[in-house]
Amino acid sequence: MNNIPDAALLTENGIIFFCLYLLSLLIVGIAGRIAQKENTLSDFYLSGRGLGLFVLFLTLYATQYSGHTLIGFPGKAYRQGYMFLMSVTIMMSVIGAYLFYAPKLQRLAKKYNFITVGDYIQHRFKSDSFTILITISCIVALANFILTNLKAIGYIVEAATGGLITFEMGIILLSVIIIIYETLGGMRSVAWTDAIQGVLLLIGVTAIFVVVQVHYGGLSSVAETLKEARPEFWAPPTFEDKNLWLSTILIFMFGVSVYPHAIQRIYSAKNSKTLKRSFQIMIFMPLVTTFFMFVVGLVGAARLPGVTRQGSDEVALLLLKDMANSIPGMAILVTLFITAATAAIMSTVDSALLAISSLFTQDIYRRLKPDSNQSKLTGVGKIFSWIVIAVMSFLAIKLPETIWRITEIKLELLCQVAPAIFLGINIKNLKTKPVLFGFLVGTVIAVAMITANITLGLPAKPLGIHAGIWGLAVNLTVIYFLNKKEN
Amino acid sequence: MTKSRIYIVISLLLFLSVPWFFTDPIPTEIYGLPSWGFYSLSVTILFAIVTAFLINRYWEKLSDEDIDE
Repeated sequence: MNNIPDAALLTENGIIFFCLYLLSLLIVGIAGRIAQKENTLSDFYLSGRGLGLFVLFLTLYATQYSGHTLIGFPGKAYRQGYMFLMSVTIMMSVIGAYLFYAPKLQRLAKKYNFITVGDYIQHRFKSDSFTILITISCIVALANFILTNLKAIGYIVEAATGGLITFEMGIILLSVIIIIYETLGGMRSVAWTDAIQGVLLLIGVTAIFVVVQVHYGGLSSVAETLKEARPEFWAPPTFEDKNLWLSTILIFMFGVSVYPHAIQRIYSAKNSKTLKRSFQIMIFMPLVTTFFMFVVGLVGAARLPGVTRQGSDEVALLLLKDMANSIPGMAILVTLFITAATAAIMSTVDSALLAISSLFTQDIYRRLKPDSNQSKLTGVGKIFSWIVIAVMSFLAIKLPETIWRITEIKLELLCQVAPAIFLGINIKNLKTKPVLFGFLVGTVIAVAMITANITLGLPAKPLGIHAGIWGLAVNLTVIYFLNKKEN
Repeated sequence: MTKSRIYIVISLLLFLSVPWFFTDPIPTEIYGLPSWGFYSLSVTILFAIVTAFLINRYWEKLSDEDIDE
């Protein structure tokens, strides 16, 4: 351990703590395997539909908040100022969105033994082609999630160890750990490790918020500085900014709430009361997660001005380093922050990976081989997980920078899936054809707008509105008129 | 409260969380936030409280427990 580079963010003890955290994930993975009750898809992908309040809440929490919360959100607050208060609303809007469909979906899932989002689509719309299209769209969106998060893992591990573990090695090492505990116990292992990761995330966010408050002062103390140094932060948003604000709420509300891995957790709840209570706690979590990181970013803008756009994503770490000069023991907080960020990313990757595996096995492979028994299907799902993580790790390391922008297409795709779920649950006379065509047109529009932005430089958000929301508006219009005609 | 009204309340609160009506270029400061930021955060907290209440009070109704399908 004497050869830890000076540039490393973690000390020797920090690296030991980090390794212990990774080891604990493998132990939990083994525990998940031991607790396995039967070799069925329901047991592997939904933990036998037995998640209680504590684990369900923490797995929902760890899944909804990725490493982006700890790294991207303070950076965005640093750059956007008070306007990024929208981050609190957008994360809450996701829970508000669940109210539109989760109570009924959970009841139906229990009654009809749904495993994936495709199971509901098939049950409601009775169309193989529509189910497969939705499944492919979800798989592409989830693959993009995995790719971007794996890349973030590589950067964090490299920075944490000062290059002792390289970017490539970091991706491979953590991918192997994720795939091992996931293959061992499926959803049970993933949910239990999420519980550890959720607790670490909450402690990390709270600790850095409290220390920043104590050392630099809170909102009131930075207000005067920002009024002088960044008057644009104080000015109210322009009309286009307000459109962007609303558009961001909508894209999160409809995109994030239909994450296939979030829906899997709705199916995994022990009963409706457990799910209900989890959401009642979850609705307040943005106040102690995103709001805290917003304040950290704003304090950074006041105390550490002049940081570049790329550097601003590290503003929380920069504040920690700045404090380390005057406060002893700050290395502990740096360790906690890095471990929490890694935990947040790993919990998102493992959930997305499990969801992809279930989508492929249940909605694609099972259709091709309808005679396969539960044990065989679970085995296929595990093999598919290994293939996916291997391909994603390779791409995360090798994908050219120009192609990386394509991976930004996630919520835009998932937004187009939302009407099938939101309207399917609530409108009895909704026919299949209108939803199918709406989905296709909406997806084409959203993807075309993003491609035009990347290749031709056209505006990514005309009038401040995301491509996914333009697509969703057309999607809903098509559904309205076609359904009227069908009825 | 009907399902439609529940959905309208949620959508309306989210819409109102955007500070649409604030245009004063030099806003007053409230608890370290510009007035429009304080307004948005207040509506967001109200949204959380109302949603928690709706979840508690109307979950069963929203699950269409009485409708067989």
